[in-house]
Amino acid sequence: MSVLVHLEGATVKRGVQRIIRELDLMVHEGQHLALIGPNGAGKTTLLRLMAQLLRPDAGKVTLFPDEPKMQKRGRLRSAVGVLMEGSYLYEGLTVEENLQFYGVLFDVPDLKRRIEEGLTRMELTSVRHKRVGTLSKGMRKRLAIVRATLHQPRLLLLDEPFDGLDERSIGELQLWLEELASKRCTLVLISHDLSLIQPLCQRVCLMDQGRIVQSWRRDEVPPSLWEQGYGHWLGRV
Amino acid sequence: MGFFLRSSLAIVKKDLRIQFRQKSLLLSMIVFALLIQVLLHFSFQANQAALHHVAAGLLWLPIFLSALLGIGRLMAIEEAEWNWEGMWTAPVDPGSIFFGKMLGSLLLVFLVEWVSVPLFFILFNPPAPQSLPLLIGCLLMGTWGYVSLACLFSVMAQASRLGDLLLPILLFPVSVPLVLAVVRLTQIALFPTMPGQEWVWLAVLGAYDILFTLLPILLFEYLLEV
Amino acid sequence: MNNRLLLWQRVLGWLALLMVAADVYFVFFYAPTEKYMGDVQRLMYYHVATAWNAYLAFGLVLIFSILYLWRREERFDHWAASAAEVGVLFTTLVLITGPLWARPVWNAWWKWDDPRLTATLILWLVYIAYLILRASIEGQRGRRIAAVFGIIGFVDVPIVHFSVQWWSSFHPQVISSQGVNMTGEMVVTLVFTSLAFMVLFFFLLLARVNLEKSAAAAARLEERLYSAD
Repeated sequence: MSVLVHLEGATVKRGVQRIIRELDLMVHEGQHLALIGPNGAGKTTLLRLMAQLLRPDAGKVTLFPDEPKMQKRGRLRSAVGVLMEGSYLYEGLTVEENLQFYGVLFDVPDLKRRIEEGLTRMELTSVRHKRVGTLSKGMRKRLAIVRATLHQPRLLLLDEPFDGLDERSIGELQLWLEELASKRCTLVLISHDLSLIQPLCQRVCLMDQGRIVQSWRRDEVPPSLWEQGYGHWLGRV
Repeated sequence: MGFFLRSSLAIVKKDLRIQFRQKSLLLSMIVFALLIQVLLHFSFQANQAALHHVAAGLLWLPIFLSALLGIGRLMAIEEAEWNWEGMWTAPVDPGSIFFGKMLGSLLLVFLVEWVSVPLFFILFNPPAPQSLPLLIGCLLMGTWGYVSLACLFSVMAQASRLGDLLLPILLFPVSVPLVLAVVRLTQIALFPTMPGQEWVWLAVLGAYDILFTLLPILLFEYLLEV
Repeated sequence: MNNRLLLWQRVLGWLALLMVAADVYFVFFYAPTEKYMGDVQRLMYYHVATAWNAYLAFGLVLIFSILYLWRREERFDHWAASAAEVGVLFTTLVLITGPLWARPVWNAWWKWDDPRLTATLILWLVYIAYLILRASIEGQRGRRIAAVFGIIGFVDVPIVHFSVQWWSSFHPQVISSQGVNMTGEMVVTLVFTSLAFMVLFFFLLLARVNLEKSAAAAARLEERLYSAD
């Protein structure tokens, strides 16, 4: 199974503080990963490292290490999708215009059809001609998700994708992610709501203070984790 | 190459769309240029006799200053919602991102010139340009080089504590050759008393434009990196 | 490696002291008085010597900026920053000795028509901008951005020179060695002064680089202390 992300001894510092400490991690294709942990554990920073939006101050982060063709920036970026804190949307453009813009930048084939599909699945067709500046937070989130998946990436990195969505949208998104997962897309998710990501992930990593303190395979995950949270495992740093 | 240009054009289209919907930035740039013209008139008391010396300045200073302020704002739209990062995650060559932003800014500054240059002729009553092609060429090439560097330095300035204040500090010294060239060429176009000089200055402008468009395109990825 | 640089710094420091002291003899006693300008012309030696070394400094900024962007090793950035500082120092000296020399000769402190002096002023402004840029952005991003500006700045230098030259080509009033009748002794003095100042330049450069390295080492120690909890 090919490795998509390989972190070796990765350290990220902000000033004197270390946000990620000598972290080793491998993400295999098809092994959807959930990152959980308390605030400030470094989950977002780890995701940004994986997205190569950040360089480690020490150690190495390699994407698609087994595939030499992917080392070219263009190829690599076409295979990675990102949903982060910034929604990457232009308030002055409409929903459709935003997608068209990114569609060109990502060189998305069959762009019209994919935009239609995305708008339909995330229930944005009614607002397609509305400017993003006028949309609610939930709608913007849904649009950001469509934008992130427009180019059908092999690696999809999502930071709190369900945040700000209503129940119905959460359901839609889960279905959408499941569909993507079945189609050669590997997910790495951060979510504070464990129950939402449970059905999606093969692996769960608990982070605290810049380290991965526990790592479970799906079948190994103790049931109490889903019900009572991870507090119990944190004392062990 | 095709993808490079397509991405740049997509960025130009996006920026122009946003600006034409809002209109406020473009209008402000035009008004600002006009205000500078008025201010300069009072500052230099440019009567017909003095015009020979100050005409080029009266024409170009409003453009330079208005572009300075406007480009700062144009680059800043990308700061909201982390859009620089959004473009960085795309497979496009970072150089094409720069080129797109630069072309968009250039078109907007040209629009400002469409107003400020005729106004210059109306307000200050210089003689009709002996060589209109030269004047237009000078405007095109001069604006190109200035806008290119302004875009590059604006991105740098916005990363700093000083913000937009750093832009003129970075831009003015480096743009001196361009300023010299456009002033001389404007003088020649309006008051042709120095024959033959124009080719040297056009060459300077040409070299400057090529160099300071290619270099930013090559170096832009280092600015975009987080 | 640190020790080697410190050693060089000390050696160059002493050498610079000796050479600059010896240079005083050359400039004020060995070199003859110039026919038309008189003793004030002796400033030319310092003026030209510092000017050449300033260009050397900015050339180094270019080289180390490119190296930094290519290799991302912090030490290249230290060299670039230090070279820029010493370069600005030397350029300031050029801008001070120029008018001091010009005043008695042309009866004016500053002549915009002097292309060399004007170009030097622009150069000074470019690298002052570089230093302000460095000071106002921190961290890795600041270093990268400064390196980009360092490259652009130096590429601009020849263009500035050429365009300022052409601009004043109608009535150049040059305060430079061109206006001077150079005898053999003057050439020797000029060469020696330039060499002396070059040694001084490298001494100052190394001193600055070592300062940067110490500061970086101190920062690393502080980090280790902080994260040892």
